[in-house]
Amino acid sequence: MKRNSNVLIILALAFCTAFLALFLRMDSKENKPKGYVKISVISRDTTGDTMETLRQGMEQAASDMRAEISFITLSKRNDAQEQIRLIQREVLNGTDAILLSAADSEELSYIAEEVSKEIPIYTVESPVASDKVPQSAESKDWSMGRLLGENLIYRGVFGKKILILESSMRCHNIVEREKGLLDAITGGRGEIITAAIGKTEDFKAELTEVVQIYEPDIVVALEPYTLNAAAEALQEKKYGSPKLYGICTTSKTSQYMEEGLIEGIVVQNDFNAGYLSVYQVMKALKKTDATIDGEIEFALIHSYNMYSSQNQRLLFPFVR
Amino acid sequence: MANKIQKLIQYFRKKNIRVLLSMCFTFVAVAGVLLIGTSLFIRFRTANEATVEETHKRIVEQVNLGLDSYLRSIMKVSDVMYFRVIKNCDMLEEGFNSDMNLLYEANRDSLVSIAVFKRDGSLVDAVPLAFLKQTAHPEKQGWFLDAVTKIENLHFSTPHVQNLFNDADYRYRWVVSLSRAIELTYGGKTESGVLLVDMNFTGIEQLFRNAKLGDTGYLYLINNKGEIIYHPRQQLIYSNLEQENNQVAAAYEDGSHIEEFLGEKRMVTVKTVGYTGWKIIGVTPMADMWKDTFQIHIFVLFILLFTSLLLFVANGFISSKIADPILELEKSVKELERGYLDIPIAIGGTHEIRHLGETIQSMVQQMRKLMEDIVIQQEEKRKSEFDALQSQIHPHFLYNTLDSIVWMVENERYEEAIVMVTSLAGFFRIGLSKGKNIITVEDELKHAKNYITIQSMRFRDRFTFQIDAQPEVLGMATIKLIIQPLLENAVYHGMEYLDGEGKIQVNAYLHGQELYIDVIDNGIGIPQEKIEELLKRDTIHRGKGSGIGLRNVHERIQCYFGEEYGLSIYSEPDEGTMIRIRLPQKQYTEDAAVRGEFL
Repeated sequence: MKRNSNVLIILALAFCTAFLALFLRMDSKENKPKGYVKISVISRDTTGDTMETLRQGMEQAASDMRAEISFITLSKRNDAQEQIRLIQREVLNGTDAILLSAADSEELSYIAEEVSKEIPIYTVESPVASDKVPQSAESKDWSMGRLLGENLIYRGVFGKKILILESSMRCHNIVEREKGLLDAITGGRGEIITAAIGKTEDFKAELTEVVQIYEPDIVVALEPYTLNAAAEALQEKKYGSPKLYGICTTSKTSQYMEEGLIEGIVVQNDFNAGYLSVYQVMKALKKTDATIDGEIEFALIHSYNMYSSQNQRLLFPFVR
Repeated sequence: MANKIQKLIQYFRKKNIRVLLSMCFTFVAVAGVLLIGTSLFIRFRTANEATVEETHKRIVEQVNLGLDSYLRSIMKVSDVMYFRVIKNCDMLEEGFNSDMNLLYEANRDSLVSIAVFKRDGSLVDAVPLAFLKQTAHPEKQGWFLDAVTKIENLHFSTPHVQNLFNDADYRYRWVVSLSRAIELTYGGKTESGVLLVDMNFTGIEQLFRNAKLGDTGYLYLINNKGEIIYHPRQQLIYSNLEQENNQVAAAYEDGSHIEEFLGEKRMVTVKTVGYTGWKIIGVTPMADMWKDTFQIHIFVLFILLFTSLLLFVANGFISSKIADPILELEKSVKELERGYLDIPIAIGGTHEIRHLGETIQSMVQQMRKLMEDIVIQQEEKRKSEFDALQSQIHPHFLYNTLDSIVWMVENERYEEAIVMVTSLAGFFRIGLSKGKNIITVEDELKHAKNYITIQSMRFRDRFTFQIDAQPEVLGMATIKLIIQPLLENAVYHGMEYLDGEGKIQVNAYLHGQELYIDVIDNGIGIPQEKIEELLKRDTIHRGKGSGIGLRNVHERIQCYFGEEYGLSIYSEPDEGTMIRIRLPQKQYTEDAAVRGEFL
């Protein structure tokens, strides 16, 4: 009987101790502030304009999932070497993960692969040519190019000269857009001309020269930087009046479209792309329990429908 | 199921009373504790929910007051603009830009723009931006159409991007438009138009942002069609990354509701905003409501478990106190059942159990006494039987002896007749011994001598005899008539068929703690298998040499002195036999002899 009593007393004490430990641990766990995850976002541009909406999405996700975004731009646009240095610097500085918009999909593949062995690295917007470095969201560049091409066909390209402005062609996403576009317009009885631009800092001058040479009816820019430059050149009447189309947008793009400088654009939901990219990183780091199934939809927008309920949400994210 | 219950019942039946009591007590006590605990828990939960509900209602009410005030201030701007400025202004004589500008400047924190349009959508005047975009078509926009179709009302739009005016900074701002139909005066003639006041979101956002519903609760605003006007995660909803139950919420009445949305149970507090018909929706996940009280729940759970544990221990102790005396008593009874009547009966516990124990003890004592009495009676009976048997010997012996005496007298052998008569007299005197069974060894030896003397004379000196005894033996006590049957046995079975001269020797001596009397003859001996049967009580013999005399002696000795005493027979065929009497060394006293006891 006495032995049984002792066992019970020991059991009761063990029970109390275990419970107290659990209670205190729970308490400290609840009060303990969670650390922030540092994510470095390396752009391929010199300003944040072209990735503004993407950035807004990233910041919203960072706020939701307790991450700290460090947004890094280049001193020279599409400078792969600078990106490599920046990646190495960020890894040395102890960043937890990297989101990369690759300036050169091939050249950056090696460093990205190496870094992926240490920390999560995802690509956003422009991927790298490696299976080991995943894209943060499914690429829809080919489809966007195709949608734009289909619209051109719909509006009629018979006997027209279509000038495709090739810039940032070392970025696979731009190449995919062009492929999608060509897939739609090839055989459309229009004349397709491709012209590489971006060899100098003066985009407008290059554009003017190219337009003057080819005298196109339709000009297609594959990225917002080129699109805005083309619109500005058109505004300054540096060449005739070809119809300008493009893929992706900035706030200036909308303005130019309203002013009639740009005929139409294919816009993807960059806010979602940014949000999901951070989500993927946080998931890879096992820092979030959330399950988010988001689509990165895209749409063709013209000046006449840019303020429709859906389109205005794509063009002007409701971010405060 | 029934099988399982049966097994459970069988299991409990096998358990002892202490375990059963302990388990029953614990079950009842724990059930009570759980019942009380659950009741308190439910009560606490209900009270907590009521408190949270009340708090959230108050918060929503406060936001409603703030929003109502904010909207009224915007409506006031519209009223002032219309009733104080536009109505008092003839557009042909003067403009109202300065007054409009003044009004805008006074409310610029809340406003994005104020604009007046004619019925055809052409701009009359606007602040702060004065030029319409080329692509702007105000007359096609919802707020304009609402104003011209329902001219008596003020109309609030859903959020949209303000797209009317050229902005050099490429700013595209989300606004909520307040529009109304107005009448413009041109040279005394009135012309209909629309007054537009665009609110920015800052005011609404501040009102909602400052109101917190717990850690993860939030407030959002919808119009009467369920379209979201403000939501803290508006773009995420617009982008389909998140969802809101706004369409369902539009149908809710004011007050609190519990809904389940995307697998999450949540409390929704609804308040309709006065003029607009908008609804403020406060959402609190039920899980969040319990987050703060989680530790209290854990603590209560601990208390319940700990109380149960204490009750278990206490019940174990109490049941042990009650059951242990019963178990001890049962153990004693089991010992009794096994025949151990001498073990003490366990008496303890409560009055009733003590009484039971005492009763059993009393019964055992009575039983023991009765059994002892029965044993004594049986022994007495056996002694009587022995005595009766012993007394049967004498008549036959007396007849033979008297016959011998008669023969001696007839043949004038008077000397021998005298010896025989004297021996016979001594034989009977000691044999009677005044009725005593206990006599001295000396008397017993004398008795044996008388007997053997008579027998030697009767058998005409066919054997010789000798009786030796240590002097200290003579005063010892013995039961009477134990040597004579041995001598009789030696004479009749040892000497009768002996060819040569027989010899009978009696030795009495002390050895160790015992007194020995050996009766030795050199007769024909006894076969070994017969020796083994001679002293057995249950052996039935008939006829001469049945050994009944020997067994009688053996049993009498054991009856008086115990099992370890009695006769031992050592015999060799044709060599002789020694029968050894083993007795305890007891000094003879007259009193003990009279009582028939040995001290």
